[in-house]
Amino acid sequence: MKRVDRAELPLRLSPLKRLPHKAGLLVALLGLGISLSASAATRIVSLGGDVTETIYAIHAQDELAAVDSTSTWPEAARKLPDVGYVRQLSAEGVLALRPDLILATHDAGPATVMTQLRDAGVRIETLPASRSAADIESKIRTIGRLTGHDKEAAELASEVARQFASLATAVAAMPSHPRTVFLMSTGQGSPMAAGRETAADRAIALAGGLNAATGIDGYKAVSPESLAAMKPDVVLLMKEREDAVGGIAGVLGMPGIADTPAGKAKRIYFVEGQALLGFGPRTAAAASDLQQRWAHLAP
Amino acid sequence: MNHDAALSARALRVSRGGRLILRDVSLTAVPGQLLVLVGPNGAGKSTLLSTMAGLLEADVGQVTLDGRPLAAWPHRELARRRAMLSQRVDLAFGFSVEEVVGLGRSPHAPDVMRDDRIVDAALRAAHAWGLRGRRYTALSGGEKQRVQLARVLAQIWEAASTGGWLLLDEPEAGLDIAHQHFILRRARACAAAGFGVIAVLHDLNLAARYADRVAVLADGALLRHGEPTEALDPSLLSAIYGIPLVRRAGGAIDAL
Amino acid sequence: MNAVTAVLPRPHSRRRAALAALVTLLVASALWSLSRGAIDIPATEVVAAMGRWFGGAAARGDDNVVLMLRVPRLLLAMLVGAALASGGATMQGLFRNPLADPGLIGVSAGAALGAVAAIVLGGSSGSWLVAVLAFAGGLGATSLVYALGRRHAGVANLLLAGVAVNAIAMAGVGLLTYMASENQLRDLTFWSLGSLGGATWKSIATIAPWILLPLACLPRAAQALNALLLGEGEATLLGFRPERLQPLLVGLVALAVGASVAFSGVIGFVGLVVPHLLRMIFGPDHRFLLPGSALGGAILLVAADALARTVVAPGELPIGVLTALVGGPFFLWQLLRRRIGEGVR
Repeated sequence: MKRVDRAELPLRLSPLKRLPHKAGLLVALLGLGISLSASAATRIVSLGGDVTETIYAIHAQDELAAVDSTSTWPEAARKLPDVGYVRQLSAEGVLALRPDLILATHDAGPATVMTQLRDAGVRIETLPASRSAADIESKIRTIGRLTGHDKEAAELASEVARQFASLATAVAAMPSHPRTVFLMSTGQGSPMAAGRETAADRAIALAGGLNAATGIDGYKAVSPESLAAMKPDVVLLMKEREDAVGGIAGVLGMPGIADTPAGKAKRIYFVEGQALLGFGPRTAAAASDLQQRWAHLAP
Repeated sequence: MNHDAALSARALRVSRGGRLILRDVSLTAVPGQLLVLVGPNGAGKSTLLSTMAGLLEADVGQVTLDGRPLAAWPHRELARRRAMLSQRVDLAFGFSVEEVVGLGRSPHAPDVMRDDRIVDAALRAAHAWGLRGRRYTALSGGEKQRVQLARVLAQIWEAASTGGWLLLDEPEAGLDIAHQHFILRRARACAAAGFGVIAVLHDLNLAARYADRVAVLADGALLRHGEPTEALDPSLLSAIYGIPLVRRAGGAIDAL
Repeated sequence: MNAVTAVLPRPHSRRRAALAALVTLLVASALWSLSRGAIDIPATEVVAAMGRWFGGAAARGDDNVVLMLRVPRLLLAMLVGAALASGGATMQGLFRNPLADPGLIGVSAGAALGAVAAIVLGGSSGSWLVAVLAFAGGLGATSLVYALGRRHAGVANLLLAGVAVNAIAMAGVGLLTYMASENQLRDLTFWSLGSLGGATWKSIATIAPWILLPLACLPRAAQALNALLLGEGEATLLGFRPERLQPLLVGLVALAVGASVAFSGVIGFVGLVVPHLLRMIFGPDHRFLLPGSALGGAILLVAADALARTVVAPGELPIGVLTALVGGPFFLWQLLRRRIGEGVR
């Protein structure tokens, strides 16, 4: 809960006041010059967990004024002002942060609010949805360009590209691709499985697995029989929900799991949800981790 | 007596829910008289009253007021000429007594001073003056009845000279003996003032005592219409009520 | 005669004073709301901004925040609040039940079905499709309820038809919810909690006629609604035509509430709580209750929206949450005082 006063803005110069008088004057002028040039894109509002992650990864976080509620990584991002859920923003709330630039995921909305923000004269750059390795690299470079951190972005994009390349090689070398189901447990009742057209589906494919739940679109509840019929070799869940679900033991206790090959072999993996499914800078590493975990499974 | 100002039912045939309630009933009431409808349960008395009020439509036949069929009367104009006190009015909202009586003034053009005066007078006429300022829902059954009477009186207050009609459907039901006589006396007073009054009564003796004319109904047919002593014929009454009834020395109708 | 009228109490003058007080309260809450928001703009600046706008001077500083964001939002809150509360008061009179609300005639469930269909099946066509389908759904459901319920006289059949249509509409909503993707589910959830965030001058111009027309017409049925409280037979005897009044009232409420739900989602409790509260002040006389409810509903929504915008700034709480937080305890309080079912003063 944070109200932003207009008085808060010009505070960046104060640390320079501590230097000795004349040198201080020179450095102060220099500092003024530096901060003026850096103010080409000084206040950024980042909408979307993957956008925020990327900004931190290319060290452009000093310019971040606020993030949305889905920007949970890194920890430092949670300390910034929160403009709310990315698909239900409030125009005045975002404007209160006095943004010079809004970097938004394609999902940001509602549309009327985005229009109100544009009408208020704020520059909004919307990034397209990321569905593949190439999309991730392109997103990194775009954000780098928009924040004036092209060099760091290029380095990061190359690193990510390298990671994806070696992942692809490892996947090609796999003797078999394990049948996998990604589950989101929603309290009581049947869990939801990730079918086609989900980030989980694409992440599984990237990591060299086969989504066993291709009979459904999006996230749908699956009955214990359906789960058993999918015959998954591996069951994936989000590490963020590990405690709530009761760990591996808890998952094995869910109806239908014990009858699956994954359940019998106790192959229940918890993965970093935001890292793997966010399709941001950490996805390559997370997918590689997953690939290595199941690379040696017997067919 | 101006018969053109009569409220007249002609050859009424009314059925409800597939059942025939009134068969070929013709009845004329004239202003300045209290006409009482009597008969056993299910005889069709309330249906006849409602049809003559214009609340129900007959399948065959028509009701005329001042020679004009009710259907031809504009609704508000009709409401200014005739009012009906129903058996039971369910009012669960917290109106004050004056507001309830004031509802009776709805068919009239709004005139605050005149309406207040008439509400006041109606309350007095219905002996409900002492209930002013109280909430209607907090009153007893008899008190509520008097307020409703005031309301219907307020509705037709100015119609006494032009031929107003007061219809009462079993007004004495559920009231103690004092209130029963009070209501009937009020009805007579209205008749004396020039209104035409038609009341459905259960109690044959109240009918005998207060009515100018009595109409006896049974099984949807009008059997007798005339002066009380003539219409309340013990042998006819015994036949339609199914138990032996006699007229006692003082004039009261009683079971044998 | 004069002595007699002097003795009778004059509640009308008390009620007129209360109406005037409500108007004052509305103006005050409007000014207060305009000066609240995620951006800190002092009240003097707000007034100055309005002055510049009316005077045709150039906009300065945060003027546009006030004029383009806050003023339309304030107007939407007033329109929707007035529509919901008047609709509730009318329904309570029509059904002779202080617990009635516009949902009984199917308008909310129908609007929900339309909105959910737009969200789940309409792709990314945007909020206009949601508004149009929600409005159409609300009117369609109400028409169906009325057509089913009018075969016999009396509101009991209307009520039953409303129950049936509501159930079918909610089943449709459930089915579409099942088909929805994650993002669509989120959008659904927020829609069903209500929000005035979509208020722009353009949307005000679109919604205003649908609400202002019923608001202007409903008070003319005040006398008739009073008489209806006695019962349909009594109302007929008093010269009214319940069989003509009912479709008219149902239609007007469907328009106003349908438009409100279409633009701002489902905002609960206003239609139920505000008329109750106002009945305690004004009594059941609709000549005061209807305008009073409209004012009261506007005030409640203006205040609730100001809170919604500031309590978790720069984020925003859905307004339906706030009206429920006000309505729920109020209902409980009324229950404890055992006054449900009586329109007491």
